[in-house]
Amino acid sequence: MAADDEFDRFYLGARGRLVGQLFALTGDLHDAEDLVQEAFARAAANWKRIRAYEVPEAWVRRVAFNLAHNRGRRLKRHAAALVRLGRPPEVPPMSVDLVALVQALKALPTPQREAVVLHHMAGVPVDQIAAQLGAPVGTVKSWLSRGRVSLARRLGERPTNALEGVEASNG
Amino acid sequence: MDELDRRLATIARVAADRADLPEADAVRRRGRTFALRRRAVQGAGALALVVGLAGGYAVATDRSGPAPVPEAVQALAPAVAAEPIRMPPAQVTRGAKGAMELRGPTRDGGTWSYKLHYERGQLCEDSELAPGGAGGGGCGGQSPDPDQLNRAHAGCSGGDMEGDPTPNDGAGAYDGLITGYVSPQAAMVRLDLLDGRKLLVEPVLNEHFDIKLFGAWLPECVSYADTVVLDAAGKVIASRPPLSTELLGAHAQDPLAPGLPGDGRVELRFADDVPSERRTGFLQAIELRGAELFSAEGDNYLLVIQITNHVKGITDRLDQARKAGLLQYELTRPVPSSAPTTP
Repeated sequence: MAADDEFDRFYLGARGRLVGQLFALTGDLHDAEDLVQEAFARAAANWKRIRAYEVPEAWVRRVAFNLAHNRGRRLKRHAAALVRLGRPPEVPPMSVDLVALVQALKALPTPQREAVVLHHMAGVPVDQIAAQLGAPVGTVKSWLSRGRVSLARRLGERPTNALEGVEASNG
Repeated sequence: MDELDRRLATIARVAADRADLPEADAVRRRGRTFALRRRAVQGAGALALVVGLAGGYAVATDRSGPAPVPEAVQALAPAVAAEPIRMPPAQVTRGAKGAMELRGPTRDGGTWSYKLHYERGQLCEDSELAPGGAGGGGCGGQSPDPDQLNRAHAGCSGGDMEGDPTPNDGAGAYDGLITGYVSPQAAMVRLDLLDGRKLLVEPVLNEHFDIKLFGAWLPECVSYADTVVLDAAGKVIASRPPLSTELLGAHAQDPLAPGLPGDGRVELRFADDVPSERRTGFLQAIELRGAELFSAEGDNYLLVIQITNHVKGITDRLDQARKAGLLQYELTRPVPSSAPTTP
């Protein structure tokens, strides 16, 4: 069916990007896989409507981020999955460098981490992040600035001009 | 792109490379399951609501509008629902090795189906509403799961969707489908709905698995039904609640879901003259905006908000209702842990 084919192409094209972004948000690859699958399943359930959106991937990302907030349900689902499937296979360790970055991201307050992931990984403009997170544009810029400074410090780097990239990409 | 951007991009690439994600067809199947199961969970919320409404006709009201429906189903109005309502028989198609499908009409020429079939060597159970394709089910093993025996699976599709940026308060048509399998001694299955209506459905024998299948469609969002299995003499031989109730640990008087530190909480009290139907509609609208009904005691309702981004939409709606004199409310824990703050 054409709609199924279209969904399949969309899924195959976007799933990797979204897993990457959700991994940066949650710091856990299995959680990221779970959240992305769940968000895509919801997209599949409503594909006739979502396919008409200008950027369906943004809808899936938004749902996945919302689900990531919903920790209570996530834990319940995780517990149910463990019962059903047994423990997930261990993922080979990443390089020390990347582990350090993941830990630094996890140390950021949630709003800062969300803003950093959305802006620097998903390329979402600041005004759209503000709309998604329900915060003023200035607040989002502040989160991004503080987030970058905090990451740089934790990674032992010299902070760059934190707002440089933000201002440029926000037009 | 600076060094941080490069490292973030590397993280994303490494995670994507290592991710173990299912194929697209599996995700589509899960999407169909989700459409029904989502409503099943909401049905458990409705259970608590009904307790609070002291048996008033509130949940499972017909929201389908004037769509043509089978005659027997039209008789479901509460005024004539004191006696059990016999549902129309399903069409039956039988296949090899116990495969079997029940089908029936829905609205506007649509169909519902409930089938057992084999897929990649496993027995699958699927419910589906068409057009639209919403459905639920799953595969596993070589025979029906005993834990599911004598239990109805109720679910519905239609209305709104979590994550939708423009919720419409659940307006629109709903289809409800109740399916399951029962003991071979069953002559009739009685489905007890939350509002007191009782549906009678004649199950169909599947000799291969020694069970009987049943299915019933309703032009409304009925997502919870207790199953009472009757033999030919009318004697009860089994009576079970939906499995979802046990999985959620939700007895009628228990909270729907445990609250977590940091969750937003809304304590709500309706004005005395607000009828139960309107209370239900309003609470469903609030749930569709992201709140979850936690408990209901008399006129007092407690709702939990777990997702920060839902708070404003919910409080906007509550403020409107308060201005209209429908209710009073208090956001007793207004700042969930992940709430944005102004530096």
